[in-house]
Amino acid sequence: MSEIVTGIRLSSGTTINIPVFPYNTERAVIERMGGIVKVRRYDRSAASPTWVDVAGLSDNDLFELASLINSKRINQYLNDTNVNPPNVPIGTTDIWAICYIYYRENANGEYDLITNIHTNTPTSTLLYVPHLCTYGVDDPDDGSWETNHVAYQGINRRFGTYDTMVASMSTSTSVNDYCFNLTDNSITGDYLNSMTTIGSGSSTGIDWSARYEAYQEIDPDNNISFIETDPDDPYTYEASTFGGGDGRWGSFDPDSVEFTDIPALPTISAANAGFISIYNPTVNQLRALSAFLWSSAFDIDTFKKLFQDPMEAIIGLSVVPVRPPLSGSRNVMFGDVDTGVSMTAVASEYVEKNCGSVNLELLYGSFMDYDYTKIQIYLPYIGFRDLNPKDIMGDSINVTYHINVLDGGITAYISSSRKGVLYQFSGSCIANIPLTAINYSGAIQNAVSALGAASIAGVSGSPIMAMSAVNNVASLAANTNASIQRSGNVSGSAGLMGIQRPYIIIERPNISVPASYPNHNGNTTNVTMRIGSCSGFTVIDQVHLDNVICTDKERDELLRLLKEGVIL
Amino acid sequence: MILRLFQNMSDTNVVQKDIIQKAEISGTLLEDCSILDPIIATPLIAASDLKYINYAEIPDFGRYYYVTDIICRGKLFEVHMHIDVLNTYKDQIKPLSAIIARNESQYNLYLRDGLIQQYANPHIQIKQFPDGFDRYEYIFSVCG
Repeated sequence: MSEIVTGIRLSSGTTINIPVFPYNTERAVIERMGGIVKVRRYDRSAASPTWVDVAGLSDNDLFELASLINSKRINQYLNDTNVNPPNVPIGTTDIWAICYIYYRENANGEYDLITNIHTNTPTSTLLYVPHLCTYGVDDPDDGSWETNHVAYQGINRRFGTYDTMVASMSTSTSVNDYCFNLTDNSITGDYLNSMTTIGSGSSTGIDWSARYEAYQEIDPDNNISFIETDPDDPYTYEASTFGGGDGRWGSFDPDSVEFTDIPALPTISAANAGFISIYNPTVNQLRALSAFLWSSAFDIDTFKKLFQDPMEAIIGLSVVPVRPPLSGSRNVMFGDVDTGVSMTAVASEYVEKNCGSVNLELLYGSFMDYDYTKIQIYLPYIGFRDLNPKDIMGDSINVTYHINVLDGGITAYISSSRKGVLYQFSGSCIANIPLTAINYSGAIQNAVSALGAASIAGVSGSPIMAMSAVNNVASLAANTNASIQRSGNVSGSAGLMGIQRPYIIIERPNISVPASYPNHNGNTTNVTMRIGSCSGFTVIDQVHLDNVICTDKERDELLRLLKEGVIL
Repeated sequence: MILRLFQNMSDTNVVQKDIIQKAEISGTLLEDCSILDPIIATPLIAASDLKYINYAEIPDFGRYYYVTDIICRGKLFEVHMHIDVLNTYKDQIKPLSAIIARNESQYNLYLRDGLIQQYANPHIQIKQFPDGFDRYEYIFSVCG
């Protein structure tokens, strides 16, 4: 539903000379094609109702009709009973006719005109507000007309609330028009009734609320509608329009939180799949196994049925920072070769480690706690990460890890007591122990990738590591200079040497507020209030000095002083 | 023209001035002066009042004024004034509804306040989580 509000200023004692829409027809369609407006009407009187072009309505007429003269001024007439004097001095002969034209888009992309223009013969000193006869069309093509309705929406704020207007809305074919007398703001009522009655039908089906909303969308500070017809204007075809964004808030709670819990550990495990066995050995058990491998007790022929090399049976030996869930001891088997070395088997490779919670208290209870506070968290095996104070300030923050002891995968969940999991970061917490020369080169590669972390954290790498990674170190150093970081990569073996407990670093602004600051500067308010309700130092952001009877210079000075701050 | 002379104890940005009347005299409005910056000549100001007078009211104009200067011309004092729009129109502006940007006693501190300054050295707080990793375990995995 769209609306055009049109006002046409008239000379005293003349008949309003509005280019008349075909209101004595039953329906008209406004089509807008590339800035050229066409009007057609639906001639129901014809034997076969059809659309016919409206003759005698020039583009210029339409231009005049749709141009709004001064909606703000009209709005002031209609809505502000406190205007004294009104914009047009009392007793003048200025006459306004105001027309409200409602149209809505139909299924064909056309606009159905559903409101007629109402005209009157003015006399002096009265502002006539010829109300509209609105009739609705239930369906543009089935001819099922609604009954006549009197549209009060256009001035409902002047005469009462929307509800009261609707309640008093006439469903008869007569039209109640009112005159708005500028001399005393009185309503003389029933002044004119020159409406052409159109159609008949039930009294239901008009979406009054939609029309009311359409009325609300009128911007009182702007002329509402302007149909550009300049053929030389290259922007005519897609001239900008009103209506982008309705400014209505959604009906949901913008602070609603659907709490995200830390997920459960995976329920399937490689340890239970039967292809591999995972153990949590002690040092002595590892020594015993090593001794077995090098002893004559190891039957290499039996073993070679499955493997070329005993080491092929070993998937890995590593160090992790947590104890996995265990399932009892059993002898380590290489295929079907019993080593005779008993180790504690791992029931599942997944482990949860809860590091507990810390509270993030507000220091100032102001915007400073959010806008100017920085929070970093150190997570073992992951490093430093930035946290947004707006996410977590004032909450209790928990850190919980999920760890896969088989491949060293580690995920830290950072959750807020009020919002659930807000962050998750991943890293690696495994340090592989080389068992062969090949393993060793792989271990070096892993170490080099973590060298940056070790260097920045002040942990020296081995000479071999340093020599192998000269280029890598150089690039890492360059990166370190480029931005301030508290650490680099701390995963893997570097992580084992790093700090093992998470912590947060909260950098809060150290504000400098002079004594009696509010007395001199005030504090931020940003609310609408009566000026007289304020006390003390007050800075006005915006105010309309409409009712202050003073000179322009005084008004300017008054506005300047109020914006600079006054003491009330 | 009647001129009321006051001692004003209030700052210029105070809407309702704290004033003490010192004299009510008659004077002559000089020609070619503005109603906003009037100049009134009068011989009637007592010398003892001169040290107090810094504010005035011209009832005929319905306006309050700051006394910006008093110039002696022979036996006449020329009282130079400038309109105090705040005190003059206080009764008209108080009922007005306005968007209040800042106020001394009613505020919302979660709005950003660009006037507050910060020291260069921030507060740094470090908080350890209660628990961390405190052990190392071997993980040995084999086929089969």
